[in-house]
Amino acid sequence: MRQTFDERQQQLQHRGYTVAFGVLATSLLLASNAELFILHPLFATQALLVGVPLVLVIGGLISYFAAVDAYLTPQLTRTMPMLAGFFGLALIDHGYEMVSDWRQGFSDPVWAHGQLQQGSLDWAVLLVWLALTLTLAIKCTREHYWHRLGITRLHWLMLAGWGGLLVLTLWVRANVATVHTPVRTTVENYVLMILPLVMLHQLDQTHKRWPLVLSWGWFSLMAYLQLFH
Amino acid sequence: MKNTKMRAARAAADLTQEALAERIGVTRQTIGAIEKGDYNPTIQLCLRICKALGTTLDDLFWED
Repeated sequence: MRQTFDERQQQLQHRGYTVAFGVLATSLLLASNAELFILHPLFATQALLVGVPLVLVIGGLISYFAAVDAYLTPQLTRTMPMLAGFFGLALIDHGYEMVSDWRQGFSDPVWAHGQLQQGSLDWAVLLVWLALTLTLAIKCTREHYWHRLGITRLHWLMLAGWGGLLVLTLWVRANVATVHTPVRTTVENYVLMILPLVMLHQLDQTHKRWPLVLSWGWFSLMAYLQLFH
Repeated sequence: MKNTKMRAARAAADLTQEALAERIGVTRQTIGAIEKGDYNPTIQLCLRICKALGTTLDDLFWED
């Protein structure tokens, strides 16, 4: 598998770095001098002043590299769908946390007293996860990378079984069990449960017996703990 | 401007974009971008393409 960049990709990388550095420097300059115009600091804390522009610029830069293949080389045909899935999960997790915070009434405000507050960083991170997920998903669809994952009917069946087990656990946790675990924790545990099997499927190695045994062992242990503890 | 000469030469050599890319050590997307006229390759890359297709710079990159 070749993972070096060709001259076109290197040119795109250099262009991306230059533009990102320019945008970062300009946005930091504007953000730190905004008080000259609005007569008070724009960001509530110093960490936000650096954090928000940095998250947005770095996220934008990685999305750009993914879009032009200058970061994830097209040879990594299995990595792109995997990363799209990972960023998608991160997006869902972060979005879920923001919504549940908002419903319980302790979400951080985005704007208060004429200043950007902690909530702006939450939105910046959400935007970055969204940009990365969409960029990689569109790229994978355009380049037909989804098919190269090699997902068979058996895999779909296993996935359906995993989903069924998750639903059963959620029902048990809500109605039968004495200890009520939050839905998010159960879902996260279920993702952790299947992760070794998914990663093992992506590896191009021939001798998989022992890793497979260990992955299934981990899966069974987690399923047992989720259902009965 | 599209590089139809290069596309024709590649087809005549019975090579896919992927196969040509593999021979000269670039990505398939780069070959696609050159043929579509979206990317101007360096002279070194032009030479590698010409050698792989058994043609000259004039044949592929000289505009009539």
